[in-house]
Amino acid sequence: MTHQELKPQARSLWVLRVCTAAGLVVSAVVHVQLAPGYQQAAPGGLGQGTLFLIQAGAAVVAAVFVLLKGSRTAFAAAAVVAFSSLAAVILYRYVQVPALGPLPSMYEPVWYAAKTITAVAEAAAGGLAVAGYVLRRKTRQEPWPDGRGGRRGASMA
Amino acid sequence: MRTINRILTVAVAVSLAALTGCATQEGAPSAPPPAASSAVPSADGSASAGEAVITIRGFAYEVPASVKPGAMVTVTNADSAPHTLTAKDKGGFDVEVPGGATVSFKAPDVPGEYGIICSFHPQMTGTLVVK
Repeated sequence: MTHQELKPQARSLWVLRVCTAAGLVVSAVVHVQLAPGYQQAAPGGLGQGTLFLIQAGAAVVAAVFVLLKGSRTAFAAAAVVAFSSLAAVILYRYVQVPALGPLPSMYEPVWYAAKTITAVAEAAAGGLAVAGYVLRRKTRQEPWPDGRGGRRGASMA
Repeated sequence: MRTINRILTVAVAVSLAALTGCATQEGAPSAPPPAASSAVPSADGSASAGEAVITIRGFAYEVPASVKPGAMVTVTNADSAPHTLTAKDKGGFDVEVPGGATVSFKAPDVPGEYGIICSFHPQMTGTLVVK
């Protein structure tokens, strides 16, 4: 089956999978780049840099998961990772949260380019992951985009 | 098909809303007055006496041993994150330095040791010696 023969749903799912993964990877890359500096900025508890690396790892795993599987679970995992990261960046931008257990105080009352980029990427990835989850739910009875379980070869002529 | 179109429309709308929201959030707080203009300490119009350079790198201040009273101090931020160079108690100076930018301000005219801190990242501290 060629790409042109894929059903519109399958093509849409692929677009959502790729775009969701891309957003998560952008977020991961920015967090990895910022981690060393922020470890010095907030070294308490685990340290902010360590938390950034944990976030990056989770984002990469979710991106790979959604790319390889594209299941509802994968989209749900991607949405959870993306929206939890977005919630954290917005929370610590506007609320002076004190140190909580292993979490240092990470209040930073300013937006700047890298921070905005990662927030936008997380918001986009989260929104697209939710869309993928919904679409996957509606098409779960349909054959997979790669032809598994479908009318294999039906359109070959 | 209609359902798919609806879902994709909602997805695009969410993404655009996120973009717009972040851009809006960024607009107000990240548009402070130019740092240099807010940097001048309590003024007295005396001429500056030399120049000094403070570098911010890796969320830490690299401060010269001392600066002369009233000297123009150049602050370079080598990080991608923005920082401030703010007088802790006395001195009255407070400059914001965007990531990768350089600003300058006038050192206090009164000799002494001035504690400095980044108001965005309170772990960043140092001392500016004016003599």
